[in-house]
Amino acid sequence: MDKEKKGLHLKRATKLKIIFAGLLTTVAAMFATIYFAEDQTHPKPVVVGALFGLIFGGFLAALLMVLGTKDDKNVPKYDERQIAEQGKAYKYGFFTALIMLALVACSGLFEIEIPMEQSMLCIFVVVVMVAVVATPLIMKDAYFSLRENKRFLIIVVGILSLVNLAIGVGAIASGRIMTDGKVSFMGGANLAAAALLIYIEIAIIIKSIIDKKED
Amino acid sequence: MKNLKLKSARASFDMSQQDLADKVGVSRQTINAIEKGDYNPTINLCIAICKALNKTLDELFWEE
Repeated sequence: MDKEKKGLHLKRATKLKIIFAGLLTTVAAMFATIYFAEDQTHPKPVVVGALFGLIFGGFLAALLMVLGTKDDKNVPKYDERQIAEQGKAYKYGFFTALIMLALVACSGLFEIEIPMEQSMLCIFVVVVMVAVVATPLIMKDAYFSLRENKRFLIIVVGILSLVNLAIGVGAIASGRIMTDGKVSFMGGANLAAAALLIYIEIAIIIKSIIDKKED
Repeated sequence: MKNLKLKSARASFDMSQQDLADKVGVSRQTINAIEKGDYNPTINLCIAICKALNKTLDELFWEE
């Protein structure tokens, strides 16, 4: 067990090097895709672009996680009360997802039209589930680990919500939000992400105010 | 039930909830929840708190 832990533990500098290498590789792959885009034998640039966007976003998230975390192995990530609260929160999230997916299945069964593309509907379920999980986690102080730099992550969440909001508003302005009378994935996903991040940011601010009053 | 023994022991060392939390390796809210009686700590955490405050388990956690 200890050997496994030792094997997995990487120094902060090593993690940053791996992440930067990943970011550079993704950017290089993006340029290569643009270069080969005219060749019709290759996949559509939009699909490849979206794929690389996801990979790039993953590396960016990893970078922010490393930068926003104290590299102190003596401090546990979460304490026992936080882990217990996380268990409860994930349970709420599980039942929310279960109920929502059952409703989606029923809508198909009874031929009820949902004004969303199927992929957007999946994003909607995920957003609601994450909101349900995040609320008790934030309110019971089990959202941030003991090692995380809370202020840094609040700023990052704020920036990410604004970026998503800007893309979403752009989609509304250009009319990309609706396709065949349904909310499209290309326009709606960013708006849904923005709504979730703004909700999380507001919950964190409310919790901070409650904590300050307690102090 | 509120744990006033823990609160007074902490105060006698002139420690804040955050100081004790840092010493034990938990969040401030966890210490707050134990003092308010909202959370029942495991025996491991009880022992860690006792060691940090130089008290026995009976002195801090035994209800009379």
